[in-house]
Amino acid sequence: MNIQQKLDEILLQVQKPGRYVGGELGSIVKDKSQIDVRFAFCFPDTYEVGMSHLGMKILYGLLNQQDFCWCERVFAPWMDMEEQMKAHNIPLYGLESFDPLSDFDIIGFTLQYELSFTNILNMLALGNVPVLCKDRKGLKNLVVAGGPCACNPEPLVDFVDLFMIGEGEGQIDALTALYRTAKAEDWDKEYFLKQAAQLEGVYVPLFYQVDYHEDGTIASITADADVPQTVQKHIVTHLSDVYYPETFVVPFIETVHDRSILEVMRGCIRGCRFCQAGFIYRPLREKDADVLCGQGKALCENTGYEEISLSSLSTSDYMGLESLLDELIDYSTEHKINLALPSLRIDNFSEELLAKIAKVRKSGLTFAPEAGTQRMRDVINKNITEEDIFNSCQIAFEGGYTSVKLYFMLGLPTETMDDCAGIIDLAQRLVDFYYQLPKRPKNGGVNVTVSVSTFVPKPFTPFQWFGQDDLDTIVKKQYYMKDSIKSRRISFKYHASKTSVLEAVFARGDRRLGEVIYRAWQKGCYFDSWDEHFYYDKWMEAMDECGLTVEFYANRHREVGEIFPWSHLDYGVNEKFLIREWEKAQASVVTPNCRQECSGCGAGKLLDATMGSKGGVCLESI
Amino acid sequence: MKAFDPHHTDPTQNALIEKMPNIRVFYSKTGPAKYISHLDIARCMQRSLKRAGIPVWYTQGYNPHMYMSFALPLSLGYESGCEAMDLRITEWMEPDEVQTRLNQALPRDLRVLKVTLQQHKPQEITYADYQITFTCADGEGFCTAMRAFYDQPEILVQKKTKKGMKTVDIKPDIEIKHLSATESGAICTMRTAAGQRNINPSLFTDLLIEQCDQTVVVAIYRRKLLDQNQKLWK
Repeated sequence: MNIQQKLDEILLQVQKPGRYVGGELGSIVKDKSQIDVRFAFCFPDTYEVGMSHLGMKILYGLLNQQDFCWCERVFAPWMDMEEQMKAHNIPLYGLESFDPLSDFDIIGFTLQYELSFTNILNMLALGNVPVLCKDRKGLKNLVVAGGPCACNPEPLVDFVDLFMIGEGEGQIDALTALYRTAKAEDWDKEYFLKQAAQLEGVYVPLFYQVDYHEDGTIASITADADVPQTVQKHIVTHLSDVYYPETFVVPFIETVHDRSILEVMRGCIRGCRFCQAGFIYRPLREKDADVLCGQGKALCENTGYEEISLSSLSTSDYMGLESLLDELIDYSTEHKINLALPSLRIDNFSEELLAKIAKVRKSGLTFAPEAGTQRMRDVINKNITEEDIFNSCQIAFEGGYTSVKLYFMLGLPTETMDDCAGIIDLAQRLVDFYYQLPKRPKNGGVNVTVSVSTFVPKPFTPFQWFGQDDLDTIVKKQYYMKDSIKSRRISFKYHASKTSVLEAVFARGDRRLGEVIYRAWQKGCYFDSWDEHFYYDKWMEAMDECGLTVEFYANRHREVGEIFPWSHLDYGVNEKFLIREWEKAQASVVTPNCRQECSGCGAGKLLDATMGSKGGVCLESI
Repeated sequence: MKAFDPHHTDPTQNALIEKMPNIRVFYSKTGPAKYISHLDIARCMQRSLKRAGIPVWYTQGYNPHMYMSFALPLSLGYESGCEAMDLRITEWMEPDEVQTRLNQALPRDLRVLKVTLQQHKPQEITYADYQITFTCADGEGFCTAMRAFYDQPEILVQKKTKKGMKTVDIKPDIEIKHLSATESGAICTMRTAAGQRNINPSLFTDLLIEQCDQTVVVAIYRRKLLDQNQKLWK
């Protein structure tokens, strides 16, 4: 019996079987006898989460454009399905061919968040692929990974053979082409990896030796002589010219984001100091409005989607937004398509913009002041004032909105109890402000939702030296805030902070954590980002067994000059710049955004290698 | 810029559209698509109609949506060669063209078999024919067991109703038209009550299989829908 037949015995026993059968519009089935390289694109979470991810859609389309390559999708089965698969001896399989994961040449994972790491191990094991690199002797089942968490891939080096640093579009073709040659010429794995390490943006941990001081900090990272000492991330220089899919795989079942997505730009001009994406995706590159319109129309026509979402780190900073919206709104009203604009900034949120969105739909509005006091916002370089917040809310309220959601972070560097109280105080003043507005909506009262998450210091940010608040402090702050709420017009939401602790451990972790991940997985930890399946105690046990502590990785303040586990990786922004920003943060000094003044972060060298520390090239290139 | 406003569509035009006969699309749902729920199929159809450029009429409410209705929703896990979806269109399009366009826009496992004008009302569906394939080691033995099971004076099953679980006798609602052993088990054609009083063949087969002394895998395929005179519902 093949996998598909065996599935008939179990699929009616599991929730949402539509996740496990493929066959969606836009899914690509090829004749495998004509294929040289079979690529399994694995998303280490459920189908609903993975199918919402833009990067997967881009790389799926791109890889399948190559005649010699067939890329399939693989997701983590939910626990009920996993149980059935194990009971019936069904290995994890590709959704297009129903072939087991172990049949694939390259198995690629996207690393979107630290808490999905254990799912990688679990998926490999379910697919009958050895979990450890050293147990995969041949070229087959090469495990590769990329995505934002690849900026510190060290905790995963026991499991992943090769990391793609930076943006995948420009490098993945070169990798599959090299693999094709290697397979045809029967190279051994190490020889292949050595060749691959010469490709731009490819990091092969095997060729880098890490030594530690007695206190556990890193003494040195030594590269073999024949690989680059520093691996520089790869980027796409011109976003308008690079491949973008004209169609998506359209899922049958409901997924988290099920719509056309347009990526309006990459990078961000803001430089909020807590935001890893704001640094690792530098330099800023915008896509032409005309190109975007064409892509949006093609996507809607080919998928039948009734919603287009404009995606970027800060969509209102996109220079061509007004003209893009004008053109898209004409199209979308005619074709009954919704426009969604996540990631709007509070300081340039205009009445015109609101009017444009309101034409499409009226739901709640979400803003992210991130901190409750001006001092705190200056520390994180959020560069918005209280006036901005009130102005935006006034526009929103007068435009008919009765509910706003505000995002904040807790546990930021230099934060005091006053800053925590400031968050609730701000919410209270917004409630009062609403009732003072003569032009407020006639129907009912206001609701201000305060959503607070725990700050996690990340590599390649000015806060990479900062020690995260310990669990007790965070919980104390959360209760303090909760207790200072006086109005029932304020809803307070906060997240379990134990997951943030673990996230902090892995974000800045080193190679020694590989064993922790392995042990925790063996104890039954996976799907850690799903609260109901997160076992903090098992993780702590695993840490103990390996002689490692949360304190060392998450809470310890690092001195400037310490070698980080990711010190041999180059994301464009240089350390001098990050140190400067770290010092300015502690002095509550803000840095202007890239359009106001170049801060000399260094990422411009990725666009123009000759520029050195001279600035402005990013914006000139648009 | 001309905004779409459902409240300002020409009322006479709408009256005309509402008088136009509904278009009935017969389609099959086979293979892995049997694991796609009815709601998900409805959404998929909506997107496919949009891709195909079929001029489907949108309801005129506050939140306009495509007007479409499905005759007899299929249970999860069943395949079918006789699914029916009714549409209202805003301008005439030849049935053949609807079929061609829609087939180009649908995913692999959904195929349009025929497009006609609606003849019978959905409420007129009274019976449905199913082909049931049983996979098991001893086909002959299974057939004997199934006949004995069917020959009981009454077949009592627990059926979910709006008022909770209820015991009903499904014997009068089930007719076995054909049953024979095959190389891999057995094959059966069953006619059941459908529509207002709807009896899923699984009510019968689940109970039967519980009582079998061998492992049996069941695959159910809906072949046709019939009216009260047991004539094809069109």
